[in-house]
Amino acid sequence: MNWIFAIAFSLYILFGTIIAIVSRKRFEKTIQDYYTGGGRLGALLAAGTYAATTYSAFMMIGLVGMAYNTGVGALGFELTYLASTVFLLSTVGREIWKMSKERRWIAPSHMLSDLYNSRSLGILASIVYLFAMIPYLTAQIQGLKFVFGYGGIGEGWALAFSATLVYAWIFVAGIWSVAATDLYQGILMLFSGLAYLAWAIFALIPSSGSSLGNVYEALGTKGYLGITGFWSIGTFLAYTLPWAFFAVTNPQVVSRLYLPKDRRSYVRMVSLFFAYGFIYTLIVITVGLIARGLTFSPSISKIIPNNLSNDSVTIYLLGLMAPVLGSTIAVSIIAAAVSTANSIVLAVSGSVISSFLKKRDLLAARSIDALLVIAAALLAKAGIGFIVDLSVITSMILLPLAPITIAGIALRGKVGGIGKGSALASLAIGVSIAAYYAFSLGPKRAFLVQVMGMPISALVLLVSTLILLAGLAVEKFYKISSNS
Amino acid sequence: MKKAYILAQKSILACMFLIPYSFLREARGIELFAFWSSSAFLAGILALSFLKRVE
Repeated sequence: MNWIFAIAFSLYILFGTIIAIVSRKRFEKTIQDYYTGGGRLGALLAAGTYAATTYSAFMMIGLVGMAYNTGVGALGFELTYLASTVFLLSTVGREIWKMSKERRWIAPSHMLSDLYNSRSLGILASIVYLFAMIPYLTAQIQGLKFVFGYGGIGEGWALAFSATLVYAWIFVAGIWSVAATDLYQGILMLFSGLAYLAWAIFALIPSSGSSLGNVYEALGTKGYLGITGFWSIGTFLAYTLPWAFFAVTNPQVVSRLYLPKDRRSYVRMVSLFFAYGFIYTLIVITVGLIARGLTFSPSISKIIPNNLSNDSVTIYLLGLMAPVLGSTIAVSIIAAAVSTANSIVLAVSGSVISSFLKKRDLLAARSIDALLVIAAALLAKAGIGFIVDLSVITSMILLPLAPITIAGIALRGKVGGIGKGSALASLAIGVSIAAYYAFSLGPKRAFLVQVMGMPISALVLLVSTLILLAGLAVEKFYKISSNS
Repeated sequence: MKKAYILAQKSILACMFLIPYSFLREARGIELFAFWSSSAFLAGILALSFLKRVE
């Protein structure tokens, strides 16, 4: 066992648990408060939970590796996501926040059900969340095995620690303990990211006998500062489209829009999230590019091999660091996964409870939370590769929710029978197309293959949007005809 | 104002796709890095100034 990691991890749990317990004094022990804090969160808490929920372990593990393997295109993909998100937060998101104050939604499926006045739509959305988010949750828990592995902790203990931590900080006070620990974890993630970058620039590069200028020169010469072969326009669109709509499709972030207490808090939440996302993205991409640049080092003893997979770059670099720094960064990756995972559990359980149960109380909420965490831990233990692979296309499966959410907010719930039917058909058919290609091609290939000359994510978005718009247009025409 | 804002944001997002693939495909320096960073920064600043102005 790596004792420095064990100490860092224990301190992380200790401070997080103290913060979760302290947050209980704000908790009013109602179901509304459990899921949304009664819409009473200040800007800092709301921004902290939005950022920590959005940015999972993918950033420090997957995105560092993606920049290392595919070059600066990874920056374009991630910053296009950020630009789209702030655009959506300033338009649709703002309306969602305003309407949530009047309508007291507790979860995104509750919101859709209310906007379309259709319980069936809420139920279908909840089923889609379960189908799409459990693999994502499983991937978060399973991914932590590798980070715990750095600390010398075996798989069984890693799964037990991950599942317990995810559940415990929800159990204490629902969204209040989740948001408070998310803020703490978000700060830890950002400062660890900065330390990671500083280490790469001031320790890793000099130790290889190179300089930052040389690294960038090598990257430019080898084409990593341009569009590499991986980032064909089709692949760029396939990756970017589902993420561009992330803010209105993923339940864990949509439900964050119900939290800010007033307009000022909402605006500050968006400002702080944007600043956080911008800095964090630049840090992560720069580290990945430096790692790639050092593989071209002319030095005989190359520090970094040139054939690492996306997920193993950060794990490899952790092994090169001093144990204190390596352990701190490893703990920050655990924090990123835990803060995303418990927000997913809370959002999915809120959706399930609002769609399927008439009796909505804290016991039911906590029981569903526990079932979700146990299911994800068991799936992670089973190690079914396909389940984890499926998490890659979670955002593609959720993509049909984008037109439904945007139209529902624009129409402010004024939707008739044809509109409801088209929303249901749009969601069912869009998700079926994404699932069909995920199963027939395999989730990873589903991003790279084109169908009818377009990426599958574009096809999913196009088909679901057309079905919805056709239904709404017919309904409008029908109304005009019957009025005249 | 809302229509102009939405048009401006959609233009920035379109440029984030189109300009790299049209003009910066073969970049050898930091131009692509700088372009994507400044586009995203501009999108963020626009969003925040819009949010502060609308009721």
